[in-house]
Amino acid sequence: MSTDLRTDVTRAYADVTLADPLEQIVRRGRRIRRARRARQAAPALLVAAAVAVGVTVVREDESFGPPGPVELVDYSVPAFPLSFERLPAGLDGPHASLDPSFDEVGPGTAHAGWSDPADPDSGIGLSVRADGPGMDGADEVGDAEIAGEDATVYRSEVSGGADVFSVVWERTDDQWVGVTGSGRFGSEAAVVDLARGVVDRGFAVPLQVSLAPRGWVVVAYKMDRVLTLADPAGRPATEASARTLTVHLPPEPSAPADLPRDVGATDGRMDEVTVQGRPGYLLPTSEVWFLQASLADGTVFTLQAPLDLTPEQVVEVADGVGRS
Amino acid sequence: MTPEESFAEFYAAWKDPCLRAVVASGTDRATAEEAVAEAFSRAWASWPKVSRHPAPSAWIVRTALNHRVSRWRRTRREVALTTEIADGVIALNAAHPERDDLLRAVAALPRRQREVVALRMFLDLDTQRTAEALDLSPGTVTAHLHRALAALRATLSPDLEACS
Repeated sequence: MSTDLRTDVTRAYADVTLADPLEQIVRRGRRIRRARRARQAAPALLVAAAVAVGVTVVREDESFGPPGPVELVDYSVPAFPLSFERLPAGLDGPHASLDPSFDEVGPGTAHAGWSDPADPDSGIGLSVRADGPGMDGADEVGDAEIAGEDATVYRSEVSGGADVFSVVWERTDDQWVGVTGSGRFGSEAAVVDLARGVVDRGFAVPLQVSLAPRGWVVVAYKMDRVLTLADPAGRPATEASARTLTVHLPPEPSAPADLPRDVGATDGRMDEVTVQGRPGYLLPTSEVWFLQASLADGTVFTLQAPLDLTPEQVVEVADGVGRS
Repeated sequence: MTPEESFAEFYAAWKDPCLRAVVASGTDRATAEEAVAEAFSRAWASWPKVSRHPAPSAWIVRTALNHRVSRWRRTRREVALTTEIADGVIALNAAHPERDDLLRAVAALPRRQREVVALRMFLDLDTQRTAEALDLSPGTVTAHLHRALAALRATLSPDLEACS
C-alpha cells in the first residue's frame, strides 16, 4: 500500500478521536463482567441466555436452506419485563407494544405507556431494549443515578406540544431502560423519580398463543391487536422474506363469503374448519395460510402462517389463541 | 505489568485508531463513538482473553462493527446510507476543506472495500488478520484492497488516471 496514500488518509481522519475517559470504560466493563457472573450463577438465566444467543446469531450474508418439518410445542408469550412500583393516580394502561429487531430474529424495543384520560397531554412511558440509548434528536439536559447506575436525562421538543423528558440508563447488562414523561410528568425531577420506582414486575401481554413452532420467538406485538412470532432460522421480522406467524384482531373483518377474494386465496379455495369449537375458515394463498375464526366473546381474529405448516397445524395454533 | 496497566496502555494507544477505522468503515461519528466505547468495555470485561488475541485492535473494531446500534440509527442508515455518510463527511470536513475529496472518496467506496481500507490503514493489519477480522478470505481482502486503492488514487490524481 502506498505510504503517501496511507499518510493522506490517516491525516484526513486525524481529528476523529475518542474522548471517553478510561475510568468510564473500565466501570462499564466491570458492570458487564458482574452481569455475566450473575448470569453464570443462575442456571435458569443461563439457559435463557443460551436460547437468546441461539435465536439471534443470524449473519448478514448467510443463506438459508428450505425449512424442515414444523413441530408445534407448548408456548407462553413472554411478559413485558418491568413496571413501576407505584403508578401515579389517574393513569390508564399499560398499553404495551414490542417492535421487532431490524438486526436479528428477536425483539427490539418494548414499550409500555400510561395515559391520563382527563389530561391528554400527560402520560408516562417505559421502554426496554437490549441496546441503547437511541435518543436521536433529543437534548441531553442532565445526569442522575438510578439504583446505583449512571443515567442520562434528555429533553425532546414535540411539535405543537410540551417538551418530553426521558431518563435512560443501563439497568443490567444488555437491558437499557428509558422512562419518559410528558405534561405534568414532563420534567427532569418527575422522570427521575419515576425511574427510581422501576421494578422487575412484569405484566402479561394481552394477546396470547399457547402453541407455536419449536424454537420460534415473539418478535412483535401491539396492544391486544397484533402478535407476531418468527422463525429464528429465517430473516429478521422486518424483512419481507421473514418466516413469521401473526395473529391479528382486525377492526373490520371480512365477511366469510368475501375472504377468498379479499386475501387472494389460491384457486379461490376456502376450507371450513372448527376453531375453539366455532366455525373458522382456512385459505391457502401464494405466500401464507390465512385463517379467520373468533374468540369465545365473538371477537374475530386472523392467523397468518407459513405454508410449510400443515392445515391441521394452522388450526391447532388457532385453537390456542386467546387474550390474557 | 498488571492487567489494569496493560489495558490502560492498550486503550491509550488504540482508542483513536479504532474509532477512525469504524468511522472510515461507514459508521456515523456518534454511533461509532458509542460502539467503540462499548467494544473497549467488553474488552476489559474479558481482558484475560482479549489481551491474548493476535490483534486486539481488530477484535475491538470487529466488536464495534457488530455492536447493535439503536434501531433508529440503523433504520435511518438503511434508508439513507449514502446521504448519512455524505453528511458525516461534510461535518468532518467543515474545518478542513482540503481533505474533502479524499474523505468523500473513502465514503463512496462499497462497504467491504471501506472496511478493508480502514483495517489496513488505521490498524496496520496484514491481509491475513484483516481477513480474519472481517470474516473474509485473504484473496477477497486483496481484491477489495486493490479496487479501493485504485479508486482512491483516481480521486487523488484524476489527471494521471485519465492519462493512464
